[in-house]
Amino acid sequence: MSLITYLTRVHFADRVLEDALESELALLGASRPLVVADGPEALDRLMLSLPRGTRAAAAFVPPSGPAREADCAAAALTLAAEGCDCVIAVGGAGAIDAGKIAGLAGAGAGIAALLAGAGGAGGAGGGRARPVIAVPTTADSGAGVRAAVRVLTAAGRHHWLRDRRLVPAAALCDPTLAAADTPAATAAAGLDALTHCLETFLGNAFNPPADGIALEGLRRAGRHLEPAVADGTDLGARRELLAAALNGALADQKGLGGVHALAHALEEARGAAAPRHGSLHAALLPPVLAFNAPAGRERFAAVAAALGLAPGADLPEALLRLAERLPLPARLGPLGLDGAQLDRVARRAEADPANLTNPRLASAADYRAMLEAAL
Amino acid sequence: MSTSVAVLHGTFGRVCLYDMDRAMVIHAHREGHLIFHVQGPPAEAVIDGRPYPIGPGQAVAISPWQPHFYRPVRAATNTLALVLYIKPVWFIEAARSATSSLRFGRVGIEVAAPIARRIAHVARTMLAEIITDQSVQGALAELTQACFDQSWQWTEEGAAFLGRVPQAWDFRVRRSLNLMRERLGEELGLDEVARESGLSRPHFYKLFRETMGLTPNTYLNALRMERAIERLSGSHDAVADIGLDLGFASQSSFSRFFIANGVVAPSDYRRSVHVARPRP
Repeated sequence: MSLITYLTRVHFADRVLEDALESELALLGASRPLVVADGPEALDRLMLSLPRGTRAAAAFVPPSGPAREADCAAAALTLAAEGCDCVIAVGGAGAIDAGKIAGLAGAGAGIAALLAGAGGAGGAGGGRARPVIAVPTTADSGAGVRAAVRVLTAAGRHHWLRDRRLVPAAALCDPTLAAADTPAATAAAGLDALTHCLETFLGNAFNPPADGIALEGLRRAGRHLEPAVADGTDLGARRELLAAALNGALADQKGLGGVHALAHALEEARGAAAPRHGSLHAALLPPVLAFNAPAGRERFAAVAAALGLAPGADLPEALLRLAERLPLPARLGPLGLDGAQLDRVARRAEADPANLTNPRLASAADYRAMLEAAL
Repeated sequence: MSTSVAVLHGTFGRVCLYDMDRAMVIHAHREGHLIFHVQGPPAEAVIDGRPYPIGPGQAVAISPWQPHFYRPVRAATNTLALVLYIKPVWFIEAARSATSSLRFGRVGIEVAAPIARRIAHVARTMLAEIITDQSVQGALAELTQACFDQSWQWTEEGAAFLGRVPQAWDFRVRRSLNLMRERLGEELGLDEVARESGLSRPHFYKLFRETMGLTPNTYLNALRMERAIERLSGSHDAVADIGLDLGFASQSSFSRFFIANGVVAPSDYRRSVHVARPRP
């Protein structure tokens, strides 16, 4: 078992949920956790791992999609009503984000106030925040350690909240928790982890440690994504994907890029029918990389090498081939978006925080062209 | 006559809504600087002899100590501009750059739709009755971050937009900076500063320029402006007294200096300034 303390305390090992939960709760001096979960399996294991005498309250969120404002508010209400002294968020990105928001809202300001004051340096405020222990069960939640969360508001918009206090007090990365995923879910989550590493590495912010972490994540994702998809019981491959997700999140300070800007906007546009986060990356990677090539082609070689491609391989082409081998759509055409919807998606991509750190300045018109190329 | 609509001081620095109609002199300041067009005809900022447009689609980003001046393009019609002076230390966490924080990658900023929305939001906030530090801080952080990040993104223009790269510090220049700061307002000529820093006058000017990217005169003017703004907003001292303390012979010469370096008259600045207080 290893304890990694970049950014926060990260326990990384098979069955670490059982091993580390008690000591982490003791460290926080907490005994009344609010458990935010998105499914029964991980929740069962979690409840059995709680030390004797723990009085837990629970809040549930849907198994996929971003955290919904109403669920966050319900979780925060439960936290206040039950007098919870910490939050344990277990599940995919939606559960982790909802748990973090409930923890940040604490017993003070409501969710709406938190969202209204959102964004930017030192944005959100109010209330006494509760510490969060994140227990990620998929590779698309940045191993639970990111300082940013996404909320689906009551109005159907995706809202980003970025605050240092969203980094959990601890994360328990247990690869055995993800074993129940389908091949398509594994492919989407794994490709998302790969894309986090790719976009953070290509960003032109100066951050050598983040670059190194991102490259190492690419190396793991490049070698283990396909085996993990092919064989759901390949625990070694799952462990590597979760490690890649952790690396992608630790490099997150550099910011993401165009693939995420577009993916977020597309998911928002599809509303309740939104595809799983990561499942559209395969279609988006080639046009976004082609657009970014003039701004950072020299970094492509390092990415290709990390992914284990042959020297001189064309990176966008190789990623397209990878996408075709994965059980993910390689084109956006089947989504059936009309021209007006594409325009709206392009405008929302332009406004997405990830667009700020794309290596090349991209306008709504540029995003529209990239979407066309991916149809 | 340029006039001030609203000025807000806070932990972020200063943000001003100015109705501008006249050209300024070359000046610089230690804050990072963003100038956005809000209403009226376009204008421009001149940096290193090159004009950069300030209009509905274009803004300018000026790095700390980068000499620049504003000028209208069409005389006799006012331009309403939102002007940010951002303290580098406030922005340090958001800057993803290895060089001094808040050094912009280039001057020209494209006012894309998300930036335009934030400009409108901040301008509206400036006109609100009650402004707390928090109500404007988040919006300013987002606006500054968006411009800062964009300035480092690659565009078709590429490196042609890059600002100057700061040079290494010379200890004699550092000594001269200290002298100017400590003896501001005293009768201290730059000849004397050069001598006390251990440099001949021509060598001092050359070395100062190479190190700081601006002349000692421009630097001294920036210090005077800082002190003047501090006292205009933080004290009830008479404008004439503030001018005299800074070495100006009369209130009118102080006013002329303040207008040329800081857009509006000192009394106008004092009238419109509001100091945002953090919530208790």
